[in-house]
Amino acid sequence: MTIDPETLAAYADGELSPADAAKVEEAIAAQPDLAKQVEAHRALRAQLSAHFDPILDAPVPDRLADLLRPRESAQVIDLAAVRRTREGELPVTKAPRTRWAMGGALAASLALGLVVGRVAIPGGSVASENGQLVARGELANALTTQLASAQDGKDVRILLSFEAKDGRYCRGYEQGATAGIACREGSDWQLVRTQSGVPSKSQSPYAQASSQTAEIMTAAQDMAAGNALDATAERAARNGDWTRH
Amino acid sequence: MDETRDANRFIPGKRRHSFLSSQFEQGIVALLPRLRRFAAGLSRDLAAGDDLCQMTIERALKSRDQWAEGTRLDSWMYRIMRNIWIDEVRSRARRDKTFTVEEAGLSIGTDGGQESRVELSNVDRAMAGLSDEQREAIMLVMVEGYGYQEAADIIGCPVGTLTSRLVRGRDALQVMLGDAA
Repeated sequence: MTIDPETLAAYADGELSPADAAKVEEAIAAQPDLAKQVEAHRALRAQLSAHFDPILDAPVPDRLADLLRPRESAQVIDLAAVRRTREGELPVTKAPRTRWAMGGALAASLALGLVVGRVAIPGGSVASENGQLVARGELANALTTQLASAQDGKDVRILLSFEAKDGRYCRGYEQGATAGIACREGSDWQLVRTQSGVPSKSQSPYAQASSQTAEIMTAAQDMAAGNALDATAERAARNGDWTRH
Repeated sequence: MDETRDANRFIPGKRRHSFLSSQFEQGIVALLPRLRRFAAGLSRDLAAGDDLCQMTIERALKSRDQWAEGTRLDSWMYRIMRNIWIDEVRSRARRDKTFTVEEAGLSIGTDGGQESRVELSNVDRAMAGLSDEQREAIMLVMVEGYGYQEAADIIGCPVGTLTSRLVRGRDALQVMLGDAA
């Protein structure tokens, strides 16, 4: 009786019905070579397990576990309020500005834990292209498609969209502990500002997020040609693939 | 609600969960070690695998509404992971061409130390010699322990396709690993 390789593998993997398995066992009894193949299959399985199973016992990196922890609730972003803060008696302190990576690819790299030259970058959301940091993956996708007015449960949060003085469409965003402003450059999103939320002892995570948001809004004010795009204008800009006509 | 009334006012995403659906998160947390193992096998590198894990978790949280409660969360997560890997990561890695077989490796537990890399390189190299489709089939059935039908469902291919990839991948591994297998 001839047993094809697929059937033999299925036997070794325990995928055959009792009746079919009995037939294979009959054939194996008559052909020692088949028995050797089944044995080799099982040995390979054991070797692969020995190779990969230690990962099961290795500690899971915080950056993965952190994604699955509950976060703080939504905040309302109000550009006018930011402006009032800036012009009023409670000026936004200049101190946070020193944390900006002002287009400096190196500083931004450090802030994001980016290792240039590697395929895989933590988060997979940033890449270096001709010396410029550009968004990739999840972040690029959110910047291109997500509307600030409709983003329930998304992991990248668009804070606002605006037209910059240089004519490009730009968007402020938050992604985990990172926040920044990305501007449309061709089909890429160039990260013109990035900021990593370095936890400070004096601030709760909530306050940390709020001050980070405020800094982004402040920076956006400096860059914007006018007001932030409203929901209609934002949708129109997205539908035009963020290209100005 | 009139979204256009106040041009300056934005209401970012309301997080509607954190309490009610914590079971979903906890389910994924419990799967993390296995997801890391599968990701490391697909991407042939533990760190790159963790990046893939992160993308998978992000996608899963975003698409949580598509998961039907009562169905298997593990198969659903594996399917998301392999789709991201096939559609995004693999094509990017090919384009960048930064990966070589020599650089890849799992190097578990020693943070990329030379010794463990040498130790583990036999299986690493053999796995690297498979086609992506074969490696995926091998990982799902021989490492993750899925049945043929489950593995085929995760990949989204007929069972016959799965078994032929599995058999060819297994034969190739046995040749590359020699008598040790």
